[in-house]
Amino acid sequence: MPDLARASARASALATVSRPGVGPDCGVRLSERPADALVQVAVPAAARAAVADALGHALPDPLTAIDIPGKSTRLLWVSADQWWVEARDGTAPADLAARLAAAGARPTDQTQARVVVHLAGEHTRDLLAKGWALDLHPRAFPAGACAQSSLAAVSVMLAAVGGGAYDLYIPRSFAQSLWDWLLDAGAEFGVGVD
Amino acid sequence: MLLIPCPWCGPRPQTDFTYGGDGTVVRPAEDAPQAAWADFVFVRDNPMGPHRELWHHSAGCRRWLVVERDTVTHDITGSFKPGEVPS
Repeated sequence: MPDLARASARASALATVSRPGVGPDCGVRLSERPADALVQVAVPAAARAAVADALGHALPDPLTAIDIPGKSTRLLWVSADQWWVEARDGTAPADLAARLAAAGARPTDQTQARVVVHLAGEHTRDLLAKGWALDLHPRAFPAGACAQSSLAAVSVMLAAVGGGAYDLYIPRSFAQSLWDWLLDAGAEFGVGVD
Repeated sequence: MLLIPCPWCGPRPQTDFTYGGDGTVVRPAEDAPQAAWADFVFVRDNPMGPHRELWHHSAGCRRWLVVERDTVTHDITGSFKPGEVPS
């Protein structure tokens, strides 16, 4: 049995990266947004109602993400009959997984598998456009939209969180590399770390 | 670069997918003769024109799909969920 308590205390994958400060001319601001729990669930059609009850909110439609009002929980669609449940209220991954399993979902803990980076600032879309193929204009990708595709050849989840800001869910082992890419690609706009 | 319409995610760049081979081959019965299994495993047509092929949306929803593509012009005329492919 792996030592889960030790694993969840593991250092950030971004512990050693370069973190330039935010200046007055920064067009893009990055910040790390560690989640307390990120659990992927496969939900059989017959269990959808029970899982929605357990979460206190309906599971979102394809290509959308929802921040449950009044709770620090976000639901993201990832594939047919599959979602992510991301909690920022101190919930332990094992507790969240157990709660979802009891409702009939099949959970997989992904908490340590992803690094969440928040991007904001007026040139965020210009930066992402350098490595991302999908249209991010609010007409095509409004707040609440999410999609998995390649950013600079790394497979990531991108969620539009409103106000021209985005959350990027990066596979842990690619996080340093993609962070360096973000700093490099953002250099012309001015990039700083909150 | 092909623009492949994923039945779950919508149009996505080819680089998000992995090619999975001919989508028309049919698995023989368990007790089929060895020649039928050899055909299934090794022998493929190389058609000019419309062709159905398997793709895996590996950087997206990680689902398999069937894409109808013209092997000469690269025009994509349809994409289907497995099990929902018209005959």
